[in-house]
Amino acid sequence: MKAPRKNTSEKTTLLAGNFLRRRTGGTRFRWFDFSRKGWIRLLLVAVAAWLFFGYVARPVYIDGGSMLPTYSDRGVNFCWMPIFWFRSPHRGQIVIARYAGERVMLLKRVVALAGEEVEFRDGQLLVNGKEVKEPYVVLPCNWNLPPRRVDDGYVYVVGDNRNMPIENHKFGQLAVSRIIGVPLW
Amino acid sequence: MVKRTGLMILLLAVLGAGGWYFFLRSTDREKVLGRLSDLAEYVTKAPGEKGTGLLLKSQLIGRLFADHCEISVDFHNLSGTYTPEELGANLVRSRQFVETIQLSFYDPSVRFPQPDTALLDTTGQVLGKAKNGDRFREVRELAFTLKKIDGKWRFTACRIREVLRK
Repeated sequence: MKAPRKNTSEKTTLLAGNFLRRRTGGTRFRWFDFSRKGWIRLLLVAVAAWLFFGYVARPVYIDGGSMLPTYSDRGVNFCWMPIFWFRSPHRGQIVIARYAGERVMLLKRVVALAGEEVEFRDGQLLVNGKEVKEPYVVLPCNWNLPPRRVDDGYVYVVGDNRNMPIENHKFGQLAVSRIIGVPLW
Repeated sequence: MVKRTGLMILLLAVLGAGGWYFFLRSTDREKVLGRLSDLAEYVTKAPGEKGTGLLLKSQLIGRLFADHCEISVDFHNLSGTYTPEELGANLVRSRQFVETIQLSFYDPSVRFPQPDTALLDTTGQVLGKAKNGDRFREVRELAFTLKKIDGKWRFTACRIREVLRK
């Protein structure tokens, strides 16, 4: 007596399943389930990954040493975006800000908020005329910058690595609307 | 029968032409972005680039700009209004100081406030190596204005948008 024939699609599924099947510690493991359920699962994972890595934790590559020694050059991190969904950046926080788009971004530390007065005197940061302790600034700095007030809707950002002439360091007032997140670690 | 075949061929030809028009023609947006990638290509200097290539690029770069292009940038006293010839000459002059230079544009966005005017915002990155061996890297947000002159999009203004103000 002949065994009932399986239809072609079922046969293909079984063949592919056997091809990808692996034995791990006595239990059977399939790399991918080619059934409808498997495809739906894959679609859900892809959508979740797209949402998570696009709108929640965006992978970033740090290129440049302006945040040394806090963040080294050529480091990898994630930009954690939900942090500014309901609140604004605060002083001392490291932020990631965008340029025209979000493929090239800035990594800086907020040192003063809107309405505050910022000044550098012999490398020492002064906010509203008071010295600010900055344990994260390890490398020597001798900057001098006359006092200036931060405009509404802006924060003042500077890198942690100030061991360079002031002209060569990118820092200054940054629109809060450009800030998209903070590094995850 | 012959009449029906002729009609079918005509219908197919019309459909083909329509498809070509809608799917293969380049839109103004694509043309503007093409001008941007041309600019990046002509400014870029690869290691070991020959003099003939430089000459060709200096001539081609002039075609990207209108008769008078206003440049507002914050370095090397480059701000001013230039003719295409002056821009080509500036390109040749500036290349003498660098071993390699690579200009890249990221996240371009185009708006058309008028049918013959395009506003293009992008992030520009210049990577390079000077003759003395120093490496440099500059990133700026750029705002370009292009006008459609004689059916071709040409740059009429370029300015740096300030992201950080000291």
